[in-house]
Formats: sequence, C-alpha cells, structure tokens
Amino acid sequence: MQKVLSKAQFPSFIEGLLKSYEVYGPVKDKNTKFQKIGSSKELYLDTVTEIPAKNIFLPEHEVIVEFKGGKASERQGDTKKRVIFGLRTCDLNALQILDKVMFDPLYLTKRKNTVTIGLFCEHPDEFCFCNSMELVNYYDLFFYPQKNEYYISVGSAKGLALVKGLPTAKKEVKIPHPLNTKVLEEKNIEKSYRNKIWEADAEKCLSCSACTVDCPTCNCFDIKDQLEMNLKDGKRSRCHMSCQLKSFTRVAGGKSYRDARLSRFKHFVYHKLVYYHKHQGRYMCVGCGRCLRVCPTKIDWVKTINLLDSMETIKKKGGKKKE
Amino acid sequence: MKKPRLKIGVFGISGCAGCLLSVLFEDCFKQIVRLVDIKAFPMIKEEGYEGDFDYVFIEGTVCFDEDIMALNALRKRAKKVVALGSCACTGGVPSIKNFLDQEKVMKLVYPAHNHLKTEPPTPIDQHIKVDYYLPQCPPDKQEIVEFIKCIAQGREFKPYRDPVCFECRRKGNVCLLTKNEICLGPITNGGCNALCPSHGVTCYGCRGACKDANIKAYLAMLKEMGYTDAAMHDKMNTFAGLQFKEQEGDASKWLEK
Repeated sequence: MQKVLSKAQFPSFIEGLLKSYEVYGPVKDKNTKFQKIGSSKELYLDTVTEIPAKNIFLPEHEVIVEFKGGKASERQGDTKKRVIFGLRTCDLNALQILDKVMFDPLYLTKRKNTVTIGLFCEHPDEFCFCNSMELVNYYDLFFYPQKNEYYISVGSAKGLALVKGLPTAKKEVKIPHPLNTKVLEEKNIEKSYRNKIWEADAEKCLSCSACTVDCPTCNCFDIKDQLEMNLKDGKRSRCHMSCQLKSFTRVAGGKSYRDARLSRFKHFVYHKLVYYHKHQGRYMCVGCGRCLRVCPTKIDWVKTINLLDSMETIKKKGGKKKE
Repeated sequence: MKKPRLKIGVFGISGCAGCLLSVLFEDCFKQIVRLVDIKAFPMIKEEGYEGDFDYVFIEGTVCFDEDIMALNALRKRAKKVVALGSCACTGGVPSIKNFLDQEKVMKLVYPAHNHLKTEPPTPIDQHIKVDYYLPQCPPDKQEIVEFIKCIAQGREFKPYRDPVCFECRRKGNVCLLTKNEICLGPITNGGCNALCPSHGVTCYGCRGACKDANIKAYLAMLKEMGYTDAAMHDKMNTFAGLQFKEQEGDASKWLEK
C-alpha cells in the first residue's frame, strides 16, 4: 500500500511525530550523523550520512551490568518510543543484518520500540555500490519523493499507524534503484584468499580501524570492567571493537591470531562477503561505501575484487566457472 | 587476613615536574592515597624514608650522568618501576636533541654555562629495567588511578596498544588528515581518548609509537598530501622521535609472514 504526503505538509508531519516519539534523523554538524532532532528544519537529507545509524542501537560505550554490594544487576533496555527518519536503503538493510546477529535484551528492546522510516537515495556518490549487494525491502515506512509529493510505501503495521490519516495513492509508484555507478563484480573470492592482489591493499593499510567504526553492519564489541575506588562495586560495559586492531584477537598469554596486517585486512572483506553469507544467506555488506569514503589511504577493495582474474568469475547463480 | 598496603615512591629526574604534578592533583592524589601508602614523594616532602618500595614512579629523561646514578639507586630499592609520562617512556620533548647538532643546541640553550656536560636525552628504559609505562604529556590522571586500582587489587595492568584513530573515530570526530594536516593518530598509541583531535588539534605522538603502526604507508600518504620529509619528521620527532625512528628502520619488514 502507498500513501501520499505533499512536500508542503512534510514539516507538520514531522512535528506530529515529535509529539509522541523521540525522532532521530540525519543532521549535519561537524559531520553528518543520525541524531535526535527537535524540528524538521534540522534534517539534512542530501547525502548518505558519514556516521551510520547503528550507533543509536549499539552505542560506542554502553553499561550492561552493574555490581553493587556483591550483587550484579543487569541493565534493562531503553523502552522510549523512537522514530528514525531518513534511513537510506543501505541503512535499512544494515539494520536487518544487525537484527540477525544481535540477541541481547538491550538491543532488542530498543529495536522493538523503534519505527524505521526510509528515504529514497537521490544523490548517491562515486563510492556507493548498493545495487551490487542484492538489497531487500526492510522498512516500516519508505518515502519516495516525486515532484511535490512523497509516495510512502508501508512495510509494517507499526509504520501504518503513523500514516493512517494520509490519503492512499491512486496509482502506486514503483521505487527504482538508486543511480549509482560503482559496481562490485561477482567473483569467486573465496578461492582467491591467497591471491597476491590483496597484498598491495594491506601494504597501504594503516590499521586505523576507520572502515569498521563507520561501517553500518560492523557489530564486534569488547567487554570492559570499571571498578569503583572500594574495589568491590563497579560496572561492566560493552564498547565497539575493530577486527583491524591487533588487540582484537589477543588472548591470554599475549598471542594474537591475526597478527599480520594482511590477514586482518582480508578478514574485513571476507567477513562481509563470504563468512556471513554462509550463515545467513546474504551479504553482510550493504554497499554504502562508507569504508571507502573514510579510508585515509584511499584503499578501494571493491576495485581490487573487480581486478581479480576473470577466470575466477562465477555465474550469478550457477556457481560454475566461466570459460 | 588483610593484605598489607603497597609502598609507593614518586620520583623525578631531569624533567619539568609536570607529571609529578599530575599525581598531586586533587582528583588523583586524594583517590590513590585511599589504596596505597605513598612513602616518598620528594616534590612535596623531602625524603626521610630509607626503606624499599613496591612500586616506584619515575618522571623525566636521562640527560646527565647524575640521572643514571639516581635511576640505578631507585631500581635497587624498588620491586617494580613505572615510567611516568612521555619523557620517561619515549624520551619526550628533550629527545628532539637527538636529531639536532648537539654542540649547537648546547650553545643556544646555555650560552653562559658551558661547564654543563649533557648526554643525548634518552628514555629511562635504556638504562634500567622498566616494568610498566604510563605515557602521555602530562599523564592522564584517570589512568594513574586505574593503574593504582589494578596493583592494589593484585591484577595485571593492561596497557592500551591500539592507535589513537580508533578512539577518535569512535567519538565521531572529523578526521584531521582529510583537512590536510599532519596528524600522528594512525601511528601513535591511544588510551588518551583522542584528547587532542577531539579539540581540533592534531596528534603529536605523546603516547609513543604504536607497535602495530604502518609507518611506511603513513609516510607515503603524507608525501601524497604534499609534505616534505623534513616536515613529517619534525612532527614525528616532537615526542617519540626515537621510537618512530626505530620502527621506521623495521618498516621494510612490514609484512609479517
């Protein structure tokens, strides 16, 4: 079902949401990110945000357990009603990927109380390659701008509740793919793990972790304990971690399993395209291009994969080698 | 049975005493005296204690023969030695002298006192065994408190060994490299919660070279940004020049097999 909202009425639609929800949307501050807004004027809808929406559900630092007087108490999830507006198709798919792997009550409660509103991506840039990543529809509502109106696709009952009062579209509009030009070719990269081609990328890698921190689907975390001065009470918290760091795989005794930069770098790519696919049946990468955009040494692993020997190309579904 | 409280000494050799002052700040000192006994701290009270220490914190760089003698004496009295601050850990600002003409510097700094005999400044671990490092200029008070909590509880202190960039990106800062500034974040040890970059100031490397730093790629990147070799090395020599130099020597073997 599609509903229609004129662009002139859009500010009052957001004001209406603000009355009963905490509204988050893309905002341009020092950089672009999803943030709580107070009015529709704060929204910045031109580009994909630099900082992904995952930080709303998986904060950089979050207390999970508190210890006091010899007893541990788990933190309860945040039950505030939220709406996130302005998620691109890539951001929405990233949330689906997180939903498949995050099972803790803190995440689930937040997620359950949140309505996601998507927005068609009108200005993809030279780093976007979402059309290569087999993205799906995964939204509560999705806004598609047309001349003076928004056509709103409804994806769930949660979403429908927000647009009940709006008129239904006379004729449904098909939502096209965003117009991005970058392509990630289908290659059998699993067989190319030992290909020398990766070395050039790893040689340029600073292991600064920017790609993983700004990735909308990277969800690895570390658990840290913080003690009070009485050395008995304290807090245990979950903070972001990155597979690009040596300390990520460090175990007791000081051994770390992915010591070489090369294997750390390849792990990022292979986790996104191979390992997750084996378990969940879809790519973990959503093609938002954030990792390419933020890389200080401009490593382009998409280009690297495209350069892989065409002998290693597989047909899209057959899985056989092309001649 | 209650564990006896640890005996701590806080000393300084050639240095600005800024690190000692960090220990003395209210939010640090008041906390640590709840957990340990500070037996000697010459900055606030002349030493009257003659016994041994469990932990000795040492600030400063080795610049004179007298410093080496003081270090050896402290090492003998201490079970564990903690290098406090950038100077003690990496050589700090004084270590810039290693990259300049020694005589010229001497004449420039002490035109009238040429009886002083200074050595090229070195971090303390080149002279005595150091067990723990608490870098940064000045050291983070919170980190000193965390360290004291660890030792008071008998836990092993885990040093932070990831680059500054990791914390900086997590805070959502705008990368200063994109503004075409030389920021040493990618090759410097973090743990400071990206203090300088969060305030729009580039990283100067005061926490020392990150063991995992890819210096070869980092220098290549700066070159592409349009910086000369001299400009990059001037920046790198500010705090941890000696460490960066050592790692740059190994940079050719960057790919660990």
